[in-house]
Amino acid sequence: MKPFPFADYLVFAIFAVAVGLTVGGALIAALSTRIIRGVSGLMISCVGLAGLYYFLNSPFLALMEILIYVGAVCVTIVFGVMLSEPDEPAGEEKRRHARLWSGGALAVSALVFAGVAWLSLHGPWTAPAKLVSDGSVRAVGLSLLTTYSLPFELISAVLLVAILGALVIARSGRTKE
Amino acid sequence: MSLNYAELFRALRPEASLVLGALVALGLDLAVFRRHTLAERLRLALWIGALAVGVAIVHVAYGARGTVFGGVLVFDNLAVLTRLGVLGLALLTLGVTSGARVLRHPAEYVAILLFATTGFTLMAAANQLLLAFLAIELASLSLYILAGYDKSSPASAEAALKYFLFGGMSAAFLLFGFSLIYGLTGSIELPEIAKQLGVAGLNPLVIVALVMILVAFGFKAAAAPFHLWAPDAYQGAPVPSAALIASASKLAGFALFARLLWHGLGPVSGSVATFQGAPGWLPVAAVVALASMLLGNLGALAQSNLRRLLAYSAIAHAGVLLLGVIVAGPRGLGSGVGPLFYYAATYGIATVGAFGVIAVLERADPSGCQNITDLAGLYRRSPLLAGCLAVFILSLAGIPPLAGFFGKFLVFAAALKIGGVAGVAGWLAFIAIGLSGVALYYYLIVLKQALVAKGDASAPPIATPLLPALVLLVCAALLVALGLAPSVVIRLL
Repeated sequence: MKPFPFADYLVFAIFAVAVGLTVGGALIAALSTRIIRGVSGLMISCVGLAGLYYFLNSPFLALMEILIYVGAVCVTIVFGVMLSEPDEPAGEEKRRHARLWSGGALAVSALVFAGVAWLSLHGPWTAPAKLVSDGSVRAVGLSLLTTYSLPFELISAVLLVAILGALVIARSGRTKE
Repeated sequence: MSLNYAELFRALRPEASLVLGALVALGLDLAVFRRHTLAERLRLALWIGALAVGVAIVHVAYGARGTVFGGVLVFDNLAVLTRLGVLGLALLTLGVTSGARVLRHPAEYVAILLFATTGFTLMAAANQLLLAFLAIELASLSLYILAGYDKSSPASAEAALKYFLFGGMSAAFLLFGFSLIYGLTGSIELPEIAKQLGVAGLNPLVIVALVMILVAFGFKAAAAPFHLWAPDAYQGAPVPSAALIASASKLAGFALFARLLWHGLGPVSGSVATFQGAPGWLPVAAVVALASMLLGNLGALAQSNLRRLLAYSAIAHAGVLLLGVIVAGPRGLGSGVGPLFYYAATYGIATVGAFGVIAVLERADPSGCQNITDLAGLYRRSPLLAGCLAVFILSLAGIPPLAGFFGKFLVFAAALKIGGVAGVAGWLAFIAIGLSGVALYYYLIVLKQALVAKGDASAPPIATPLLPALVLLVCAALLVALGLAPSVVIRLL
């Protein structure tokens, strides 16, 4: 069968879109001063991440990323923003030499990123002899209920603690003395 | 891989009883005791919690041995003893809670404390990266909540926030390190990782992974230079929470740390036998240990707040515990881990006791136990508290015949066996011995206030309730008994 013309370019373009969404969304989330824009940036970044998971042969993870992070986590944050106080105006930058510090932090993190990226590209990764699982819902479900049943159960305990803690800490009653 | 769910359940009966205890405490509180006073609800929840921990202790003592569920969990001597140790420390912490100021939502407090203990017991036995990470996070998440539990105090919120931000960041480091290890070895089981690393040896990516993992554990253990959260967390958190953070979490954390480093990453350990030793994680751990001992002991000198002083002394003790990790492994994690376990367990008992004394003082006078000078005249106001505090502080300082002395002695002796005075470990031991003198100075300042200083003559005597008094006496008795007969513990490993 003759492949679709420009198929490689098409795949690359989709990959580039996914990367762009991830990075762009993250930048919006980190740089915006209004919280609602930050949440939107997080959503965009999560959609991009889902695309990256798809390229890594994990359609199930991609689906879950959209369902849980975009569909549940970000929507919950939006509800939280809606129900709480309106945006406070951005405060004055108090720290002196803030630009200097952030520039230094940026340089250090860029160096670390470059170093780890270079190492990752040249690292002696072990390639599995065969695909461990096809990443399908069936394979993930089977391993969650057999090999990884203990971590799976433990996650439920972690979530229970998180719910308990959220109720106890966030419910009314934190008073200022 | 053979999966035997019945075997898994039998092995996890202690965890099951802890979780069941937490749920029963929550349910009974909701269904029956809603209308009672906070103190009554706390007492009921504490008894349920104590029962659950007691059942768990019995299950651990007569429970499974060997590897379980395809090697996910391993129940060797270290695991079983650490599980018993954290359960015992949790029981003592429950006793401390009964003597502390009563906070709102007492049943939830006990439930979350039991969940944290579940995390500790799993950390003690985890033999797989995924389970180890989840156990750490279950314990950490519970501890963040416990640190922020006092809603009437802004300091408590600050403690929880700082602890949470640092802890969350260290979790990210840990996960990144683990993912690199998985990518390089293709496995998350510690024995398989050790086998693969033994073949591949050290390469730059392994070094990055090691750095990430050491940074993460440095944060969790409050070792310098990753200690910044500790003083605020110890100062602001409710007293029983601080006791748990300082005792059981340290014991479980260092047991897991030793197992992960020696069983999983042992082939890339490097060497500290000489100053020109092979590269690996041992030299890095030695540097972190040195920094912690120096910064903790010197920082403690400047403190006037009792709880901050305990925090800085905890940083110093984390340095000695790291030395214990360094000396644990070369002959395989058999008897070599004895000094580490003994030190961590006895340090935990002494800290729980010290925080127990603070809890009773704070209950008697909510603003009364901030500074060391507030202890003045304690010997007159409550001879019991002053006497117990003296035992705990002297044990922390390492005065014979208390258990703290033998902990230090065992760790330093083991360190000197590695390469003698020519080795990095030996020099670390010498520096630690020297810094013990510094530590003795600030510990004695506390004792001078409690035992000698006159204080306010009109201050009323402090009545210690029965249960906390019992806990304090048990802690003190344990420190004396273990100090007189350290071989009882050492022989078990």
